[in-house]
Amino acid sequence: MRIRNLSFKYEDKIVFDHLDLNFNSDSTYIMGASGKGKSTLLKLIAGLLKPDNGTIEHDFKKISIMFQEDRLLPWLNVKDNLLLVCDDINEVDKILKEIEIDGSLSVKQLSGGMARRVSLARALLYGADLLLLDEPFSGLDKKMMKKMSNLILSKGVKLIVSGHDELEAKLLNAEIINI
Amino acid sequence: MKNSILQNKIVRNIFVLIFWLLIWFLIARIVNQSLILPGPFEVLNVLLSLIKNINFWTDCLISIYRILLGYLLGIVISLLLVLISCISDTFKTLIAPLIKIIRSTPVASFIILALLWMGKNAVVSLIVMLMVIPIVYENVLNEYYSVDYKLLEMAKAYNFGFIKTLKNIYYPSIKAAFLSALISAMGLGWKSGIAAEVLSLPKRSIGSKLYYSKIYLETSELFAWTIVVIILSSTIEILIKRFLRGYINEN
Repeated sequence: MRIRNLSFKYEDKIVFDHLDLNFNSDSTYIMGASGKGKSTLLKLIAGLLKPDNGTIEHDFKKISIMFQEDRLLPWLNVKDNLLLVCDDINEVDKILKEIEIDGSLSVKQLSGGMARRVSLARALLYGADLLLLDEPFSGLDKKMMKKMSNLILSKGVKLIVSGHDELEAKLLNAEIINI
Repeated sequence: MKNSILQNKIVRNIFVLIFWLLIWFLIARIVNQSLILPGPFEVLNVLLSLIKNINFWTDCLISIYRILLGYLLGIVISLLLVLISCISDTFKTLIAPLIKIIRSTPVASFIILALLWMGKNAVVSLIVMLMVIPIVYENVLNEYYSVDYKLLEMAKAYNFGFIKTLKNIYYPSIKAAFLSALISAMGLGWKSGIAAEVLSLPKRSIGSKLYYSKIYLETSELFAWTIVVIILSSTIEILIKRFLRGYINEN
């Protein structure tokens, strides 16, 4: 995947000005301070935002994104949230076991870390060939981070992850790109 | 605990009712002219004689039918207008002054105008419909615009499509505002419907009975019909609230 000459601004705030990036590795970790545009870059790759200039070239058929916020529907329980992106109930039950969360729980009952895991499960269940993960491990302890990293890697899909922590990049065997 | 609270509430309401009946009784005694202010017992007697007559029930049912018809039509049209406004900004801009006019114009002006244009029976339903539309339209549309854009972005990312987004994000987000608008609209629709009946005088209606009681100086009957209006209005409001609450809990 290649990003060429990418420019993007929110009203008057320029986020990217003629950005060029190459994603050569199966797993890439985009590192940068807050406000540098990591989330915006992931949204641009996902096609949720349109660049003002430049191109994002890739041949992925389906892209899944885990947002920086959990964005779960508060009026549905955990399982129903997951069933929105995947019709296969067995797949949903399987991933619920893997993330160690009871599917009947209401979203309002989830702690920050639990909601993060459900949000990750949703991104994994979507069945994409490119996975964009925006700070996927915030609110998780090291043990759970490791467990979730293994779960992500077991899917064998291309990864682009954003964050601030080199340990996360290491857990995901990712090449680090600074922006 | 819950039962004792309920019992206390019932006792309190009965006490409030008795207090105001007593005030009414005393003022009626002081005035001592049933043509101006009949006492509660006199009104109760008239009410009891009214409800023994089959025509009373027919009049009530026909009034309820006309008002509910206007109410339901108003809801359906409001939702259609909301749907089109969500799709087309031009439509929303064009319809905004119309909604404002409907909301601000005194109901009597509409009733008189409607009487020039159509039959007595249709006027009542039309007026109720006109009163319902701005309430439901504005409440639902405002709520539509306050739906969490982050959830909508998530729906787009996971390719929900129109129906799935409507069912899983828009509907749950606007449901509470929609249902409370339905309750407010019923209260206003009922009052406007009776007012329309008083001015348009359809043959079988509560409104015409109120009007003729006044014309023939049957003040006790006027009071009795007013009590009927209040009881019916409260009962319908309670039934709608119960139905909608049940609906919220189920969903």
